[in-house]
Amino acid sequence: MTNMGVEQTTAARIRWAVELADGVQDLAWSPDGRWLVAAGVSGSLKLIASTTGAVDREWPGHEGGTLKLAWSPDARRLASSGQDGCARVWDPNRDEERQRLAGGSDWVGCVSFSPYTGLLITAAGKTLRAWNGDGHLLRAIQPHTSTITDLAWHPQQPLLASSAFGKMHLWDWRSLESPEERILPHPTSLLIARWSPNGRYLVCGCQDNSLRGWIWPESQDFQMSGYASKLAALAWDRASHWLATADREIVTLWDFAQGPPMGQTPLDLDGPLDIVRDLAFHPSQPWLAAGDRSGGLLVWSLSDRKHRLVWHGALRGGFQRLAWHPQERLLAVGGEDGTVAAFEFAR
Amino acid sequence: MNTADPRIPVTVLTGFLGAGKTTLLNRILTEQHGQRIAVIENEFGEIGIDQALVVNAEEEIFEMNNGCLCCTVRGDLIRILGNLMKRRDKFDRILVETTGLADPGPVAQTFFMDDEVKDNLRLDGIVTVVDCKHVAQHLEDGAECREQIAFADTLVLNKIDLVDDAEINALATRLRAMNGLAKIQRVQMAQVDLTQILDLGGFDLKRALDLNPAFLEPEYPFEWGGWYALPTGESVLVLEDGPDPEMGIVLLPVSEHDALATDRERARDLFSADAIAVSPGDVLEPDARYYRLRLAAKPGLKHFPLRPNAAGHVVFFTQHHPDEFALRVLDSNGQPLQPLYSHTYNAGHTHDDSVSSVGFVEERPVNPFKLNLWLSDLLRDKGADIFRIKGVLHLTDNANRFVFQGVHMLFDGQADRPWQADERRLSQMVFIGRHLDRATLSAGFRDCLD
Repeated sequence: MTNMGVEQTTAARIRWAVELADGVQDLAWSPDGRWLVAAGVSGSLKLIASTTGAVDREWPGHEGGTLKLAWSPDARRLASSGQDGCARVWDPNRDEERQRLAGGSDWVGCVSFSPYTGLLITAAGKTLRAWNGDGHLLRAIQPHTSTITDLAWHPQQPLLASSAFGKMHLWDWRSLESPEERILPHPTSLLIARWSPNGRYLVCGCQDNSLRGWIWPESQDFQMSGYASKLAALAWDRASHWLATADREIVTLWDFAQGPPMGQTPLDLDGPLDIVRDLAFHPSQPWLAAGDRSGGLLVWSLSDRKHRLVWHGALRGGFQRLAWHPQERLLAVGGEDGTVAAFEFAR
Repeated sequence: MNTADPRIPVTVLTGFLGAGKTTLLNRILTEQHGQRIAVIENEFGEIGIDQALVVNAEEEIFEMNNGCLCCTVRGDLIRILGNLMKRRDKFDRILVETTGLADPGPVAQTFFMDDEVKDNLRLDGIVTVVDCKHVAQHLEDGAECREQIAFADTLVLNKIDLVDDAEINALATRLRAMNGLAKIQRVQMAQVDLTQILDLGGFDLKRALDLNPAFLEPEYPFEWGGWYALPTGESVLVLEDGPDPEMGIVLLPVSEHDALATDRERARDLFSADAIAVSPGDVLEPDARYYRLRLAAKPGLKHFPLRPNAAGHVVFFTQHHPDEFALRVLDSNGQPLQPLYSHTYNAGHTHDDSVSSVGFVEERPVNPFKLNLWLSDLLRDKGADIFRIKGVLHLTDNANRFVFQGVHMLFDGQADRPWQADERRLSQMVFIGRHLDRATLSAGFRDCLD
């Protein structure tokens, strides 16, 4: 295989590498693990076979740029959202787009499939839209007074969190006609929202360099501060035991085994790293991956607290995105130079 | 200094609706300057040409929740700039157009408050387009226009073809008093020399001081200047009792094309000469003389006949404000003459503009710890009123120039190039803001010197 923007290492094997025309904006594994979809910053999408790295399909994506990707839980549909004011739905077996979900001119910054109902939610500016499987708009709501920054589905309930400046909204979508609304106020801009896999905690990285969270369903809030910058990434481990956060060069691990670790000293993962761009916990292994802006990759094992991999210059450019394969020990990485690669880790 | 700075420069374009922002933007995009420009356009913007990278932004301002109410940033800009940074190979510069009513504060603060933005981008300059015909009204109408002028690195006086030279000069003087740092360009149809608005490089304070050396010494020995067209024959200057038994006055003959702004320098020189003491009834000749009016010599109304050689324009520079002495000029029929133009000097409080600039130059080195303490205290108390601070400092025991700038409560500095062997090591600092007290600021700055 060609070795484009990627360097070799002994600790992990490069299964394949693919080059996009420009920087990687987002990566998404299909839930069945067959494909990785990679979106370039200026729009185009590549459907890549996980076994071979073959580009099975290319889609034009969004004019102006693609922003987010999301697979349906059954792996039969991929949704993308972009700067053209649309979300688009693609079928892995077809070249043409299956649906175009248009709703204004604002960037569609977030797109997310409900894990249960087949509902697709998009957020564009201050507007939240719910679409059914046929691409029909069910509802458009403007709950927020500022742009919605993230969406996160509760892992076990039809409960969607939407974050923005000043508050977190929680939507109970058991009734599609009138979702029940609950508001968790917070006086700063909430940027990244993540549910713990056990559904017990909702955490949020904030513009004011803090980490804010709520215990669900009590809605009791907690906060961790002392960060040097706003968080670049948040990731939960499978067991909801560890929450990893990245601010500048530091990856911090919070121990949630006994509840929110307010007032406790977190573990700082020893680097060395440049400014961290993304974090990803393996879905079954206790492995945390971090990629930095100068192409350094670090994989840390929580069980023995040792590095599995420290790889400076894993990419020639900086990292943009990391995504673990849903089943295998395969880490997909996306770089700002357009490199998409799959690193395979030994047992 | 910015040649070594790898960050992408950002120019912010402000100005009232109709001032000519979009015209200027279109010029920038069409002109051959060899730079690829990404534009973040305001939500009502209408760029008239096809351009690969134009992003529309809805101005979304939010507080930082850091205990400071004036610490607001543009959330939309953080998102859009973050996305643009992923395609930084596609352009050389970013231009942000704001809406007509925008306060430039949150835009500027975004470049201080957000680390991601700060790491990758630098605020190269704020360009404010001014509609010469309507700016006076806009200045009366609200704070936004005053703030746009106060924040500017370059003021583009547009539509000069719609007003006469005297008005433009008066406007330039007025804007200069509000913002002593900005470069001023006078143009028609937004035909700006682009080198004057791109690559401003933020910190070149020396250049700004060269442009306006008087800026650092804005205290004049007179509080007021009034421009009169005196008729032939005898006029008379009439005063009442005031707070002082004497008052200095300079009568300066001018041509119609002169500007009050330049005559004040002549008047300043005259004020430092020996005065001719005169008592009520004595004749004043308007030929560039400095008189001391002995007002206490006669109780009640005091008359000083004015005897020009011919009809002509004369500027009166008075030591005190005329209101304090009910000063007026009457023609030979006893009718009051109105000044064609007048200006109040001192402390930068010109017109009703509470916005002014105050600058200092000191030879002694600055103690960085004292400076930090002073600025922190000052900005905590007065940050809301301080729009911009710029400085080039000679720090104690430091071989490099230290440059810094601030917006409201935020400030940020860095070591600059080394001082040259033949260069005078001066510390220069400028504040632009509302209700600035020169004496307090000056004393505070002097306390930071070693």
